[in-house]
Amino acid sequence: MIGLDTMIRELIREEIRRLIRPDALAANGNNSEEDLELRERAAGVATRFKKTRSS
Amino acid sequence: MHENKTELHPLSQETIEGVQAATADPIDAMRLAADLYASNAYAAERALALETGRQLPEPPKLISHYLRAAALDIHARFQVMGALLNTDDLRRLEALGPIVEQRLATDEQLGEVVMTLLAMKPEDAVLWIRAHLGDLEARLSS
Repeated sequence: MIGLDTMIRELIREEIRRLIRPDALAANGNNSEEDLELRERAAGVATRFKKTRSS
Repeated sequence: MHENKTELHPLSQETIEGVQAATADPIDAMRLAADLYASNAYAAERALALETGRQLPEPPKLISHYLRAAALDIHARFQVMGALLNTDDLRRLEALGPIVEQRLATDEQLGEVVMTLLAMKPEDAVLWIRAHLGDLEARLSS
């Protein structure tokens, strides 16, 4: 059975698989409208990963 | 190899403690435990599909708020880092992507590096990636 740490790592692997799919690569550079919202979201979440890793 | 993955085991005490520590909401802790079981089923099904050449399964839809938020955060962080990197950096990372994805399953050191990058501010993570991209390429090509 996988644990929480492995689960987070699997989410990362899944995201990488999604990013390297041909359709995702073709869409690179077309995400400027999302940038501001994504930046704001990403700026506030570092502690979640730290909390997960220490559990 | 898939025999171990297809056996049903209870969550370990360590995992249960981790689940409870991760979320203060006891209901979401139950959902998180369900997500862990669903992910184990997916990992077993995927391993079998890879072994037999069958169509790969779709990953399970997460039900816990905790993991749904974590998945969104991972997505957001990769997107922001992608927007901050230049075309050449992105091409080099795209070439490394399949290797990183595979090695993350077993390479603890690489896992630590990726988790640390995701815990950094994206701007700092991008600086780190630029400074170490050559080292990563050398390490992952061996």
